[in-house]
Amino acid sequence: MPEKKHEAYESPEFKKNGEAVELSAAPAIPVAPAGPDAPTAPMAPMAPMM
Amino acid sequence: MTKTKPTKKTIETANFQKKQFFDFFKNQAVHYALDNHSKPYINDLSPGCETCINGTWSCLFINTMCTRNCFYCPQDRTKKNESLPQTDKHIKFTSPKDYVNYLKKFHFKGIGISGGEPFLVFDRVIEYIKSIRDCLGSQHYIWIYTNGDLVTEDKLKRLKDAGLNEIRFDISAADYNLKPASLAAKYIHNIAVEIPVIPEDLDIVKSNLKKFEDIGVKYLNLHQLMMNSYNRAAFNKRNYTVTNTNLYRNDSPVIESELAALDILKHALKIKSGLGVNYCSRCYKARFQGKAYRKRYASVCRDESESVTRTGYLMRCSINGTPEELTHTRGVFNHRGKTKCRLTKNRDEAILVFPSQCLEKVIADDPYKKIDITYLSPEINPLVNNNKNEKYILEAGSEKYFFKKILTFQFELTNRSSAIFFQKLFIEQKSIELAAKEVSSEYDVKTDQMQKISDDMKYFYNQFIDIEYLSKDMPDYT
Repeated sequence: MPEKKHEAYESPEFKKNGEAVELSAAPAIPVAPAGPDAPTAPMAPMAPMM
Repeated sequence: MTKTKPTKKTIETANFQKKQFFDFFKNQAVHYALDNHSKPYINDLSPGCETCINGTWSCLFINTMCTRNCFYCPQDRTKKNESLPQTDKHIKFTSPKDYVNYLKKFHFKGIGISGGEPFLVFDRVIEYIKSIRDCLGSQHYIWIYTNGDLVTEDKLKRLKDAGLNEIRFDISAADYNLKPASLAAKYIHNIAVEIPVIPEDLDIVKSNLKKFEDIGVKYLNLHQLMMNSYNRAAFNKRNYTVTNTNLYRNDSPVIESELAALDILKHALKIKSGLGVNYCSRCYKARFQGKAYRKRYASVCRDESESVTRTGYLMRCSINGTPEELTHTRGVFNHRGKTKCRLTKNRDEAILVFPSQCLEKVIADDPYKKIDITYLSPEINPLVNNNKNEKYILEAGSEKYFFKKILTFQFELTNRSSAIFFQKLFIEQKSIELAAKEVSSEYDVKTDQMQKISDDMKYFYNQFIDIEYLSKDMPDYT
């Protein structure tokens, strides 16, 4: 049986951290994480926040 | 008071300078750990650094007091009392045995003993190293950090006998005095100089590279200065420029420090230095030490309905609906006990968290169903949990440690193509090209639409790149 074809392609719609992402307006570059920085492992001689 | 934001011109100039360094490195014997530009190095890396790259390094902060008060120190130097040994922010140890159990539980292979200044609690250091060797054998790689102030021949002998592999000297804390490192080279197998790169001291470091080799230093590890609440005033006085404050929440890396580190690397190449010179950027730490931390705890925090991403986040797929509808869906998914869904419901509404392998079925069932994708960062905390039946992850000293999942990213996929893009790129892990081709074949697309699908796919992928993958390039200063 041939694979079912969907009628029309539409651009993906999604929200990132609660905000709608507009594909046409958005810059095509990697976006820095908006969430809290993951707790990094200690960095000697630079120590983490205690 | 914080420094005013750098001008656009300053940032552009710094980005140009950074690009020039990396252009220079292109035809040189520069290696990139994990094939990532955030950690360039020449010659060799210390075996200790290798364990960090592999995600199996444990840094034990054995004390907090120090003999110095460096302007760049990121720790609270007003503390007057010594603390218990601790690691990963919250975990404290009252005995070497507790620490060894922790090392075993999370499969560490490398142990770096930091402080404070560890030589201030020298007997404690020896006790911990001996316990590690007695319980775990000779395979683990152990090193210690020091500013060299309290190093003596007798202490070096004791460290050697206890089984220490390497000493790393922060000579920037001690006026670039090389005598302790020179002495240590007689007793300890590997000697490293490990310093934050102070832009004003660039020429001192460059002119000393040959001397480092002559006295038996094998590795030079360069760190990027980072500004935080403890050193902000001193950094502002020196007029440093900081960047990327969104990416690195708790501290701000100094641009001039990174450029100076890359300059040292370039100089080492030019003079054909035999040192293993390694630039460990803040960006590397955020990407790979962060990933190692998450992966360490993800396996013990994971719920059966969640999956662990390559970057160590816990990923959760969920849909909302009526209790009846989702109870039915759960029944279908859990058929023959193959999958584990989690249903949370009240009288009128419910949320079904389902394993990622069920996503395709959800899309097929209802192409317009809104799907939530949530990424959580796992961590463990010594908090007393309200739920007394909750299982603790670790017991150390008098504390019990429970897991905690921090909401980090959230996506709502609100139409069919976003769900399919997600399925193909991040569940099936297909390339952008293949995923775009497959999506095109699922629709009656005209030729001119295929380019649009490909462009949409690239943009969609970029939205997830720091979550599902770790970028290869260094980010530009902003």
